Parts: sequence; structure tokens; C-alpha cells
Amino acid sequence: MPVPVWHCRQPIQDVLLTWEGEQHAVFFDPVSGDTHLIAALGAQLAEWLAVAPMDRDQLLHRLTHDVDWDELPSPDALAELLNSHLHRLADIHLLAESPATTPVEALAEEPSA
Amino acid sequence: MSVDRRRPLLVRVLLQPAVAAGLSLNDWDLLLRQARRANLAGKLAEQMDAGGWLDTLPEPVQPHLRSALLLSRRQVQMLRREVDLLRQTLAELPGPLILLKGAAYALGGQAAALGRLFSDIDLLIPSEQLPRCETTLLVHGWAFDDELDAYDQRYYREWMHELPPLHHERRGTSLDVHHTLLPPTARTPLDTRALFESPRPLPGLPGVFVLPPEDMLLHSAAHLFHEGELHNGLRDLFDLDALLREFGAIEGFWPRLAARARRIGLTRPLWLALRYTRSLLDTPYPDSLPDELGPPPGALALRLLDFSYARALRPDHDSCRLPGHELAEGALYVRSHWLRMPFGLLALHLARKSWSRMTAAPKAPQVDAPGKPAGDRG
Amino acid sequence: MRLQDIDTPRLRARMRDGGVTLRLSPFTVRVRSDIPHLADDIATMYRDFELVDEREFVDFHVAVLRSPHWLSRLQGRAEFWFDGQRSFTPLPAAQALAMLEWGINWCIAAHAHQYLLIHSAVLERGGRALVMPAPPGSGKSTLCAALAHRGWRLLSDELGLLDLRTGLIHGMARPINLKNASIPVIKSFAPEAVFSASMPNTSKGTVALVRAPQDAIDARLTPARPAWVVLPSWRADAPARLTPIERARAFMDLAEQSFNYDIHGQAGFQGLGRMVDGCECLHFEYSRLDEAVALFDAFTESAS
Repeated sequence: MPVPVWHCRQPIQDVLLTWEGEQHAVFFDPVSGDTHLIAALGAQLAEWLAVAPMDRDQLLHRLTHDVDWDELPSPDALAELLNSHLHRLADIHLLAESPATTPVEALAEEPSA
Repeated sequence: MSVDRRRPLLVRVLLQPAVAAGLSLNDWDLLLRQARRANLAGKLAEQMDAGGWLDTLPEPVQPHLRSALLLSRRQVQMLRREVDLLRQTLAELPGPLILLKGAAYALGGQAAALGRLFSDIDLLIPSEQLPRCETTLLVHGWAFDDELDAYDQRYYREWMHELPPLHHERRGTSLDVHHTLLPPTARTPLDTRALFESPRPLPGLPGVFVLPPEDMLLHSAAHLFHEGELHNGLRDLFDLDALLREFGAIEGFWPRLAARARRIGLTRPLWLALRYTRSLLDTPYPDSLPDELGPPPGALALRLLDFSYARALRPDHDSCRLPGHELAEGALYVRSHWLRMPFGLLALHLARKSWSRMTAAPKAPQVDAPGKPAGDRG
Repeated sequence: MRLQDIDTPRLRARMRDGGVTLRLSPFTVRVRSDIPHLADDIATMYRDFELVDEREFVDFHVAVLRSPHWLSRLQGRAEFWFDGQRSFTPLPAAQALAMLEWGINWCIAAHAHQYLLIHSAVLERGGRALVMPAPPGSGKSTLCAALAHRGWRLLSDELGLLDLRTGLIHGMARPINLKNASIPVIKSFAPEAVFSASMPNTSKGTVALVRAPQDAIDARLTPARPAWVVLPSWRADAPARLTPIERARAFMDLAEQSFNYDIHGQAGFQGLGRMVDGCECLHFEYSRLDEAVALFDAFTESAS
């Protein structure tokens, strides 16, 4: 059954600045012209999604296995963490969720800013 | 500085941008100052850019024009976002929310918007929605500019046609909410309900509209020729010129414009708009158009109006001041208030205003605090 | 011709009549004033600056004039004018020099968008620039004045001009603004420094201006590449300490302290990003100036 996918709204190399080992990154939203300080974790989500869109489960999976946690949060805590990051990043126009279709069609349906 | 009665340099260049190519550095020095004072630096910059001349202009001049371009372009981007946020804030009102003036030109795609600087958003809503609009705005972080005392509050609400000016406490945006285009106390009655008949929707901003071309132009004329403070008079005149040129190209526009002016009661401002855009900016329109707007002002009144507007509609810079300038400003201020409110109220209001002017000082912009550059108000 | 080549009576007369035009690179500013002591102050602070011919293009026409308003004039007030329009509330004529300096800063901040303008102190050593963005009250100006007199070349105490294309930062070597307790502190720290008269009762308290050191004025046309971003804060009795901070934080502080970051859009974002990439970013806490200067020297020397 098709599920909603998340994808990156911008080509991130132009609008996202990250620094190795730091807890925060900086994002420029070309839609509003605003600049935002975001958590490094949010930047990581954007970097994954810039390569290919993913659904929530895939993101959760990567969060669990591909992040160097000092202490891995419980599955519930991780899910909430993911939700709050996705919510914030959608607010600032870095990410967007598309309805349940294949990734390619999802991108084509993205309304113009 | 000796008086130069000719058309100001700024006007000559804006009407014929190619003139800029032959200007000396001294000319440019003066031109930029006139442009900044007239709030037309952005327009000048856009014209130079559009003509492809920007890179060929003298070195010291280019940074000034590029700065003006950056500023005006960024403002349009911010404007769109502000209007979107307003739309969301006022989503529960039945509406329609009609944008006026600069914001309308920009989002409606009019040529008048090119290079324009905005300092506030003007919104028109049906009068019965005003109380609810006010409450909603106040709840969402908007506040009244606080130097208004009770007298000024009454002035705006009861005698004028708008809420007192608002500003957003966090974002700093300024907002004027109108419920008609001319004050209800004005001598010439305006058919306000007609304004809401056929607004033009704006793509991407559901619930937000602009006036149809005839009304947009009539409002621009009413605004300029009823206003007392003409700090942006020349800028507003150029707005009118741009609108007349742009809409004049639409099939059947002129007869519709005349009919609409008669229908809603704005023939006099339109008549004046046509007269002064033609004489000062060579604006093209059918020569017979003014005749369709009823009898012109009496000869004496007309002489006074010509004298006043010829002075007031020049760049607000020392190089452009004609003798009699202060008289003109005074005359127009009195005139516009005469148009706005019955005479008894008028005397009272003016007496009080002139006392505050004598004792008040210009406001200080914030020097230490970084933030948006302090542009001209209005 | 330099300002020092004109004698006092002639300077006062010229400033009253049409104004004098100064090369405050990268800007050309014409200054007019009917206040005689302002002419004297300018003669001191801008002694080594070039006078420009009347017929040249001027970026900013400014004036500090006695208030025409009858009541203000009676109170001995003056106003700052730009392009023929008064821009601030009237202030006592004794504060004319401070008004002029703030006024020129305001003109630049409001109109010079060919640069990314950062409200910061900028100093250079060994070809590299130290940028200290900070809100008022952080002790930036005091620290800046101290470093400027201990081997660092002053570019600016308040206004860093970042060229987004070259990545270099420019300064004007204009006078340093000091206030209140900083004034006696720097007077004893750098007895050779040339001070204006102290101007009491300004909105910031008592203010004085210090002429930029000679080496700074001589080299003011030379920009520098930013190498350190330091956020200073003065705290009573605190030992001098430099702590690394995240580049993201330094970025946001620079953007917040910029007058026009916002209007540069993506170009500003990328330009500031490149600047921060190339800099060490630190927070600096201090209470004693000599300790502060010593720590800076040691730190920046070890880095090179």
C-alpha cells in the first residue's frame, strides 16, 4: 500500500551549511528569504532525503541505525524526535511530505512556491 | 542653490531613461539625491537595469543603484510573505480582503510596482467586518502605533476611513486597514459598496484580491488628490502615470473608466489626475476624456490648484523647490482636509495639528540596532 | 591635499558655506556645518584624510546644523541632515561630533548595500582580520581600542564592510567611539591616544571619540581576509578566556549583527558561510584589558 513520502524541497548544496562535529546547521529558505538555525539531526535528515525521498518508516530505520548515538533513544522517543524535526523542517520549507504515490510522481505534484 | 524652474532632472530621466547615458558625474550626484528624496531611487535603478545600462554607468554611481535594486527586490519578496501571513490571520473573516496601493501594484503585477519601495500594507475590507478584523489583528500580535492619543484615534476611526495605523510587534510590518476609499465625512459622497463588486483574485493567495483596473486607477487618483501630506506626491504621480499607460492599452478601458468614475463619484480626482499627469509627465490618454467627467473646477480654484500642485509634485529636494513651495504645501493640506471633513471640525483639527507640529521633533531612527535599513516613511 | 593643510578659520568658513568633501574610503562624504567647534573636531579626527575637489561625485551629502526650530535653537540644539532632510531628533550642539559619526554610520548602513555590513569591530594582524560582532554593551569598543594600540591595525570599531565577491573585509579607520567608564580606562591604557572632548548626556551616556592610530589611517585602503570571529563579553573579575564556539552560532550572530544581511538573500547566506568556513570562531570573556591583549596575542600568534 503506498505511503506518504518525504522529500527535500531545495537543492541543499546551495542552501544548507553544515560543519563536521557540530550540533547545529544553518539553512536559507529561498521562498521566504529567511535564515534558520537547525539541529544537526535535521540537517542529516535533509541530506538523506536529498539523495532520495523516503517514507517515515525508512527514515526511522536510518535514524536508528545510521546515527552515531551516545545512547540510542527508545523507539517511541525516536519516533517523536523524528516527528518534531519533520514538522519544523516542513514549516521552514526545507522538506515536504507528498501524498501516497511513487517518489517521482510525488515530486512532480509539488506545488510551486 | 539657484531655482531651476524646468522639469527636474529626475523627471526628465525617468521619462526618457536614455538621457542618463549623457549625464556627468555631477549630474548623477544630483540625480541620486533627488531620487532618494522622492522615493524613486528603486524605479530609477530598475530603468537603468532594464535598459542594460547599469554596467556602463560611471563607477561611483553603480553601487547606489545596485543598492536600491537589492532593497526594492527584497521588499517585494517580503511583501508577498507578509500578505500571506495576513491572509492566514484573517482567514475567518468573510472578506473580501482587498489590497490597495503599493502592495496591490506589486502582487497584481502592475508595472507601477517596478522598483517601488513599500513601507506599509493597505487593506480594504467591508465596514461591517471592521470590529472583528481589529480584534483578530490585536490577538495575533498587531498593535496600534502608540503615539496616538484619544483625539487621533477618533480622528482615524470616526472622521477618516481607516483604523489607526497598526504595526506587527514582532515582524515590524505596518498595516493600514480601510473600509472605504474616502472618509465618510467627505464632501463628495463615494459609493463604497460598489468597490466590492468585482475584485480581482490573486493567484496563490485565496481570499486576497486587488481592485479591477478602473477602480485601482480611481483609487490612486483619489489618494493623491485628496491627501494633504504629499511627501510621496511625485512617486504617487508616477504610479498614476504607469497605471494609465498600462491600462490604457486594454480594449475599451477609457469609456469604462469614465463611466466608473461617474458611477462611484470620483470624477474630480480623476480629472485632476489626468490634468497633472499630462502636464508634468506627458502621460498619453484620449484628449476628450476629461470632458466626460463633468464641469471642471472654476477658473480661480483651478489657478490655485495648478500653482499648488506644480510645486508639490516635484522631488522633495532643495534643488527642485520653487518659490511659493510652503504656501503650496499649506494650501494643499488645507484643501485636502476641506475635502475630508465638514468645516467646523476642520478648524478644530488643524489648530490642534499645527500646535503639535510646532512642538514636536522628527523621530529618530534606530542607529545602534542592526536591522532593516531605515527607508523613507510612506 | 589633506585636511591638515587648511587652517582653522578657512576650514570653519568652508564648512559653513558649501561644506568640505572628505575621502572616507570607500566613500566620499561632503560635510557641512555652521557649528565652529565641529570644524575643529573634524580637523583633529580626520587630520590625515584627503580633501576632495568640490566637483567630484559625492556619495553622501551630510550636514550638522543648528536647529532652525526656534525653541530648539534657543536650547542650543543641532540636527543631522542627509540629502537635505533632517534625520534625527535635535541634540545639544556640544554633541555635534558624535552626531556626525553616528549619522555617517547610519547613511552607510542604510544605503551601502554593495557590501554586507556587519556591526562589528575589525582589526588586522599579519594580513588577517579579527571580526568582533557584538551588540552595544558587550565591551567590544573598549577591547577594540586597546588592541588598536597594541599592535593590531584598526579597520573599524563599528562597521565591517564585507565584500561578498572577494571575501575581504574593509574598514575606514574612522574615530573609535568610547563611552562612560571606557574613556578613562583607555586614556590610561594608551596615553598617546588622541581624544575628542567628552560629550556628556548623550543617549548612550558620556561619549568620546579617539582618533584612529596613525598606522591604521595610513593603511586604511588595504582590506584583510577574515580569520577569527570573536564574540566578546566583559564580565567583572572574569579571567581572560577564549572558548571555541560552533560555526553555526557564529554565523547566526554575524547575520544578526548585520545591517543588511537580509536583503542580500542567498548571496549573503553563501558569502557569510564562506567567511565563517575560513575563520576560527570563539567566545571571549575578560575583565582586565592587559590580560585580554596578552591572551589575544598568544592565541593569534600560535595560530599562524
